[in-house]
Amino acid sequence: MSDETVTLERLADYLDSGRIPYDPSIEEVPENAGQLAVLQRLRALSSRLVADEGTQESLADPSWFGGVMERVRREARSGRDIPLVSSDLQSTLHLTEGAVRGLIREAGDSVPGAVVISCGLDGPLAEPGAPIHVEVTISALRGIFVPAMADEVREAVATRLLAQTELVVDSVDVIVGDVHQLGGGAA
Amino acid sequence: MTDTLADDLAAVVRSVPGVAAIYPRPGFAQLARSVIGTVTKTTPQVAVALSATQTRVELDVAVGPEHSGPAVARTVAAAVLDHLAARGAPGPGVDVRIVALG
Repeated sequence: MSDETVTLERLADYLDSGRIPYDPSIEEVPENAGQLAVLQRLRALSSRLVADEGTQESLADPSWFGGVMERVRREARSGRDIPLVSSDLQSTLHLTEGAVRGLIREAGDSVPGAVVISCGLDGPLAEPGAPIHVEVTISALRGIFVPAMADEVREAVATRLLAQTELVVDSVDVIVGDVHQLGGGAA
Repeated sequence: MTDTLADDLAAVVRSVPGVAAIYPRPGFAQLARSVIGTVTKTTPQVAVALSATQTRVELDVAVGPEHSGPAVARTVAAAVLDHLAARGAPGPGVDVRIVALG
């Protein structure tokens, strides 16, 4: 974890304050900015939960929430550098593993009712063009046909990786870690 | 000179389509000191180390949605090198790292 990483409590307080005054130590540090975005998405989803027993025991449970954020914090680190092909000898180009994880998390979270708990990249990231395997574990917050949601997550992740990276993705596996029921008119 | 160059480079990079933010590279000053021996001042966003024979630029970039990270990285590097060439900077080199993809 970077020395510049701030605590979850501080991120929560910053969101509570409406991100005012502007805090460059959060907004201008990629790891912190990424965690802030996830925290904001989680809060938005939590606000839509039905107050049924199962829901109360899971998302309202600080240990569940803390567990997800702890994974987010670990995965927000830069991680391995993924070299990018350069057309000249004067340029050195890389993409961080943390950036890819952030993209996967954002893609998965964009599927209605899904929350990405963790994601993993398996394969020789340092070898341009080598195929890699992606594994995404989600919490399915929509109490409907879960396999369809998993397919949506898989498609969203694959599409974003294809559009925004040059990684050769051999497979994307989606694991549904748990399931919750959403309210507020969700299907 | 270096401060002006770094400021100019930051403006050049910000103008590249797809660049959402620029971040300073952590640890750059220590690296430059070990490689070049002399470290010039850095701006908050773009680090420039300059010697009689080398000009080393390092920066971290966040790429916005709908843009390819590698493509933006190449465009940023080319823009930086073009600017260094126009300025007659000696031994130019640039290191661009994508740290976030929107």
